[in-house]
Amino acid sequence: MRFVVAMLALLACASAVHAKELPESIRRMADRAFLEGRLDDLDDILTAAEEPIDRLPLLVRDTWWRMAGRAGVRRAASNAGDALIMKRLEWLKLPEASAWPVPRDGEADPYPILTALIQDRVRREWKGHEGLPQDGPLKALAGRLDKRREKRTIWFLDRSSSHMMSVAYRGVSPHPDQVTADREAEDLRARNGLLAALALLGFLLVPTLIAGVAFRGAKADPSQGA
Amino acid sequence: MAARAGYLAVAFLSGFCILTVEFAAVRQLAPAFGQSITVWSTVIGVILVALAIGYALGGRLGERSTSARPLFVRHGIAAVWVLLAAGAGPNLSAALIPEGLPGDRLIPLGFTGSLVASIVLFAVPAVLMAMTSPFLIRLAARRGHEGRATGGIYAVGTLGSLLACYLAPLVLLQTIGTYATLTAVAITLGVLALLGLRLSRPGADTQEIPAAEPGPPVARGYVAVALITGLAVTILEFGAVRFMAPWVGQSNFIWATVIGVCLLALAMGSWLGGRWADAALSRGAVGGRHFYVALSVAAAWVGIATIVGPDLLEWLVPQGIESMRILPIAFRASMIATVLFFGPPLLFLGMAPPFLVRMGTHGAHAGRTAGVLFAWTTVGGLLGCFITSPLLVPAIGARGTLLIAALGLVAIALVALRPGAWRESSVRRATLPVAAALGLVPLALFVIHVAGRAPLRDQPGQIAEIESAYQTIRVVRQDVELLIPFLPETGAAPARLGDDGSAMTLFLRHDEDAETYQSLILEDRDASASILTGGRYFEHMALGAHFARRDPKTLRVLIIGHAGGTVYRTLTQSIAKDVKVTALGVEIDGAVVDVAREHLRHREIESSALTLITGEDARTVVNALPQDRVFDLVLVDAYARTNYVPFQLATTEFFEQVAEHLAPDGWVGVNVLGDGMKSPVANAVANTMSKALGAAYVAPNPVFPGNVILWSCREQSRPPRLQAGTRLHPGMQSAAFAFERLVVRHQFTPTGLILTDDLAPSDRLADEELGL
Repeated sequence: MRFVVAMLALLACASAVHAKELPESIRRMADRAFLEGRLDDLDDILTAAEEPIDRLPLLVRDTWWRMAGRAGVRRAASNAGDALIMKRLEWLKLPEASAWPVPRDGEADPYPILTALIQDRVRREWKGHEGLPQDGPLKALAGRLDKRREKRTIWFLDRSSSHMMSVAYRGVSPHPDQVTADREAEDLRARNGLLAALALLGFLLVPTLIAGVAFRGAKADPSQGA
Repeated sequence: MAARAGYLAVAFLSGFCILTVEFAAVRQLAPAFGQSITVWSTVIGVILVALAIGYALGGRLGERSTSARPLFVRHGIAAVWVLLAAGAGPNLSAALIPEGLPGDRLIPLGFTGSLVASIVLFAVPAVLMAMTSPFLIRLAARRGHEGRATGGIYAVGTLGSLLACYLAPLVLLQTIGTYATLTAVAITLGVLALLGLRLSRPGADTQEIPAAEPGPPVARGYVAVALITGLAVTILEFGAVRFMAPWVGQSNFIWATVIGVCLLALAMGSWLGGRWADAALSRGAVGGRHFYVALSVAAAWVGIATIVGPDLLEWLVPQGIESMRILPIAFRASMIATVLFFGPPLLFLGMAPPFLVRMGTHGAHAGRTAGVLFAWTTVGGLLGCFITSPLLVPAIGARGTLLIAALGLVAIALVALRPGAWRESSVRRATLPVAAALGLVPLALFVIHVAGRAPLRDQPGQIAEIESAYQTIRVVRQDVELLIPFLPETGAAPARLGDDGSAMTLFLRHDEDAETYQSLILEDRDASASILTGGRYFEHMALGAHFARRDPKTLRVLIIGHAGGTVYRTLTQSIAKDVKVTALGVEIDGAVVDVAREHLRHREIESSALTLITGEDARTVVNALPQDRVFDLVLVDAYARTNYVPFQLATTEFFEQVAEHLAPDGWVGVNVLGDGMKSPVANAVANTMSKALGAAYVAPNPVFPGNVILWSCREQSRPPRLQAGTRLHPGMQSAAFAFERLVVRHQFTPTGLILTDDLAPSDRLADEELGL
């Protein structure tokens, strides 16, 4: 699999061999690899990346998304020219200080999925789950997903919303099996409840009736004992 | 009439206070000594011995008294003592905490401390409170009506205990805490003492009772019957819970239901027995034969219950109900089964005290007789407490244990009705064959049980059922789908082991658990397999190894709740081979490890790197850890009675103690059974971890929302991060994926629920969450 990824990346780069920055298709591959958790594949996908903006997913992975020190960021920051990438590299040095820098109006984000993932994680780790996922950064991403091609991502979003957060994600309804299981459990609960009430009532009544009938004649003088 | 009502009120409150103190005592000592069966039995045992002494003393001292004033003086002393115990208990317990881990120890860690603490703190008030019943019987009984007086007071006292059985563990200890509960008991006793002293002051309009002359000792036969019936009652109570546990579990509500129905039956039996004894014995001693025949009926009833019980329980709680839905169904089923199977026998056993007092009383010695007999009944209860769960159930199973109790009752009946025991020959002729015939039922069933022990409950694929001192453990072999739905498509891990898309898996399940598990192993996997547990929570816990290390070549782990070793196996097999892992595993139920050795290849993971401590509560072990013992990773995966995070392993004090043994960048991970982020239990534990450690992070499990892992570290407010550059084991990809996309910081609310050793309503939250 990794070999295929590397070959695809090299082919894409060959088609834009004179360009200084990586082609858009490579960036999309890197973005998707991040989304799907194939973080080791990033080395192969971005093997031709030279500019800090193209190395950004690797820097994010190795300095913030996973922990391995920030030397790489310092080296990259020294020759970063673009304003957005400069801000992002600065952010990686001190992520707690500010929000993840986003492009100005009209400016394209080279890694929109990565941005959504980072914003989502920052929000989760610092603000908690309140408001997620209805208003979270991934919500906007979900709207752009192709239901057929992006089923893994949709599965993840559904799970993260309806199960982990215990919040119904838009468009997600309980599985029919769950509805049936709920109904069957409710029926059993009601049946056992009725039987329990009858059993307890019978247990209380029968000895009382026996005592009333059997010892009526033997009733003692109340003044003679407790 | 007013005096009679007063006696009953005092009996009721005493019964309530005694049982509440018992519950509170176990709870108060748990943070220091844990809740292992040794410690639990020690604390209850001390209190029961104290009660037995109190009953005997109460009967003897009562004979010399001419008014009720001494009784209320004792209540006053008990009130002060309980108040002091409430305040001083935690400090005394802390001073008695043992040091050093159990290596070659013969005595369990918490035994000595819990013994000393429970004697010092609770023995005296228990003795004083136990003196109440025989004293009241002495005051209330009139010649010819000793049975009625005994039955009434015993019944009302038992109803007081019944109230405490629900109120103390389910309400008081869960809402106001241990200190306040004990204080409430002290206030109750104090008010009772003041009121009693005022009403019985010299010159008040109260009845003076003449002091009794010394009388003959209580016949040994009656003492033996009291001992065996007390033993049988306790065995039936504990045995009932264990007998039904494979279907209904052992949640707090199940215990409360079983004990509650048992106490209700005993109270009704006492009341009924008092009247029956007076009526039957008014015609002479021959009337006592009714009681012994009733014991035979009780024995036969228990025997039949062991046969029809499993089928009825299976119908009430069918297989396949999910763990998050089962408890409301099981709770109601336990009520039905307890009433049907154990209500009638215990009703008959409840007749023992009034019958025996009535039969054993000579002259004006009802109080002393009651005291002696209550004392021996309590000694029987004490024996039952020590032998039922720790010895009988593991040795002969819950079914055999119930049959042993039934045989004991038959033995009493046959001895009492033996030829020559009664003057009237017609009595022998009529009752002995009946008792013998009834006794054949449990005898035959016991022989069949011993000859070929069948499992209590059989699940599809079940290959073994083991009844340990704590729980029923089932080894189940099932072909189940792996829980990695998408990562295989990325090529990160193979999807399935079998051709039919599933993996043969061995599970360790327990009690009512038909769906979840405490340990497992994929049967066909080997050490090089790319699948570990198929996406289950063990992988999520083992992930801690990838962010809790400063030194990349070593990892020191404390695993609380080792069970069948799945967390340890997953951790060691998913970490790089050049990392030296040393682990201390703690498992309270040693039988689980034994079962894992036999069925889950536990011996494969045993080496000098893994030190196992079994039979000890993890809190006691953490308390006893040497100060220089440091861990990089502490994993808490401990459950009590299927559904509960043991409260003593979820409090601020516990996490602060754990922090003292954490490396500077070490992490604590706690597995909590709960409904995702909404779970009140998970939120309470997370809030507590935040308070103790600075911040807590919640890691939901995407493939099973019923589990979350809570993470905290000593370096405050640092979110957990996997280490870059580590090539994760393929089997960990799913966990890492979920971890990096779902971990959420818990929003600490200082005014929210923070669990403490004194007040930790985690059980109540779990019950509510599971629909109870």
